[in-house]
Amino acid sequence: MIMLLEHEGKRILASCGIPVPEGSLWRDLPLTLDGDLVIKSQVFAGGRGKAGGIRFASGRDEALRIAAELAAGQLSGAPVEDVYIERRLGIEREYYLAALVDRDLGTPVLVASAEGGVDIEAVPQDRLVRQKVDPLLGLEPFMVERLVRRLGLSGDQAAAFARLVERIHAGLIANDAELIEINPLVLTRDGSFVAADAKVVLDEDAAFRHPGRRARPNGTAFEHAARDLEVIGVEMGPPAGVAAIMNGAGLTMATLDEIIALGGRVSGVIELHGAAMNGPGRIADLLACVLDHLKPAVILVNIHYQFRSLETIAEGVALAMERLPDLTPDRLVLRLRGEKEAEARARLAGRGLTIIREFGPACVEAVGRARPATAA
Amino acid sequence: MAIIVDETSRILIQGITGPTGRSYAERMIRDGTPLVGGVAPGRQGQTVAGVPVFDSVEDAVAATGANAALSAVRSSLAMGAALEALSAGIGTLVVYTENVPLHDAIRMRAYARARGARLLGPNSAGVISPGKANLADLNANNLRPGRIGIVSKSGTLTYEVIDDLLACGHGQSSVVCIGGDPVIGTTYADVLPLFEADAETDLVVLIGEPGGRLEYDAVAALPGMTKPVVAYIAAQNAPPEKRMGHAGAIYDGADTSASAKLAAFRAAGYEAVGRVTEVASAVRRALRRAAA
Repeated sequence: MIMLLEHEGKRILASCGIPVPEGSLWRDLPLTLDGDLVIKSQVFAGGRGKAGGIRFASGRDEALRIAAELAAGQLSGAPVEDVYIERRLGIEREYYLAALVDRDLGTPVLVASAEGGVDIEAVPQDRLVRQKVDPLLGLEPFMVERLVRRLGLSGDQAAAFARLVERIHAGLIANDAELIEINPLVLTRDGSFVAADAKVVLDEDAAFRHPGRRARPNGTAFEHAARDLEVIGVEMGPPAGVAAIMNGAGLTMATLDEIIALGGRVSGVIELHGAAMNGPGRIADLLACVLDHLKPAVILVNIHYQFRSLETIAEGVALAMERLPDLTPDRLVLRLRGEKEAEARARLAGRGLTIIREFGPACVEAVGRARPATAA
Repeated sequence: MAIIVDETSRILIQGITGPTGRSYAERMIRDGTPLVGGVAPGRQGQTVAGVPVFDSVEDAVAATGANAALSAVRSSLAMGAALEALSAGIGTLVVYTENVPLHDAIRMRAYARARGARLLGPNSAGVISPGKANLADLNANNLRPGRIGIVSKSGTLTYEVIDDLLACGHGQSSVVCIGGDPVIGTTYADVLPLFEADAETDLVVLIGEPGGRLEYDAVAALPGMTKPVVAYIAAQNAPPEKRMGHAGAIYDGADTSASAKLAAFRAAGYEAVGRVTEVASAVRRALRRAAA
């Protein structure tokens, strides 16, 4: 899931043939862009207008002054990534148009409304038109016609809107996008449709079809570091709790819940995502990363393999204990279940480590160990 | 009986010469699973774990009569492999591959539905009917034939549930992993009626996650069940907008959180728990209630 800023999304809209206002990032503002302008904070958070992130100016000097002001600040706690300036539209009416993947239906869906310009969640369901697109058929004219007719459009406007529907759908597929949303889609006083805003979310997994597509780093420093080590890290907040490392998404969720249900605090979790295939060095690096970023009282390494050998994990833990003086045996609880359990235990023997085979008791042990440390 | 796979299945592995495919093949043969061949373009004539390799699914089906397949090809090839298998008449397809593009998952799902085939995944740990056939990333040694059916998005959650149920003496009829991706071929609501119709299943454990609405579709399908269903919804404590390992396990609105889903099962009058360590006792309660 790669979320784009408005100005990046508008480049995608333009490439699909959807009209967008003339505009540029404030530092590159061309001399030709003058007159009535809109200055827009580029942020990942929603509710930008209400928070004061959209301002108006008459003339480029005033626009640049406002842009500098917006660029220096924050918007409702979110960093302002950049500031975009574009020509102000003469608005006749505001529509809503989106193409998205409905994960539950498992198909693309088009959504349109004649009541755009507001938070779409606030628009009553009966004022929204939804059109499912059969992925094997693609977008057929009957689908477009239904959508346009339900919006109450006719004549040239209906034809123009229908073209936009076709283009936004084609753009969703061609760009491997999860969402392309235009809100508002402005009907201007001279009768044309122009996208006044753009929200685009791209699919990271389709990067192999789109050279240059890369996930935007977001999240905490720990989450970045985890990503660099090719695992999925989630920071939960309080330090001095339990940090837990699991193989598998489901086991990660279950461990998080169990620790909290036992009255423990979770500093963060890591899902190995097959990282053990990179060898024991990677496991040691992960333990170092957890220790460094999360400063947990206890690390629970909770591994349940069906076929894989536990030796890589054991070797990685041994390596980490040699490298990291802070990784004392009282701060480690190991739950090891899988192939070569005896060999893994033997590799770690004599280190004063607690190794448990069952899920529940391992969580109890980790929470119990973390308690005196958190009370101190 | 069991559901989806059994001893009469005739199984192919797509990508059988790759490391994942090869390890699947070896363990299937060891477990006595009816693996009849594999597919790897350009490798026809080779054998892996004693079964023949074919260039195409069509050729493999013609030679072996295969009706089920597990695909372990890389993500950029996953859609092509799935369409090929479905087009060749494969009726049960497990897509084990993770990180399949969303629009590729949409196409393979739509094509499977149009062909009347059963697609598990993408990002599915597969399906196993213990003692009969193992088309899953689960170790048959950790399971026993029994009368509990399990349907789950996650593989690793089923490991824990299986362990705890076995400790109470309950084996499994079939374990079905539908996949951890946002768009998947088969839903809980598709699997529940199969367990309902299966004479070897007494109770179903449904394992859910935050994100999406498939668990609600399952709640809507519960009136069609005469057998008890126990729901376990994981990640009760997951923060919003954080991906919990699975690409699909991310929620934004409160209504797709794990706690809201748990509440929906309870409101429908079903046993539902939010801790994996509570599943076995919930199953015991549900069985006692069903017997009363």
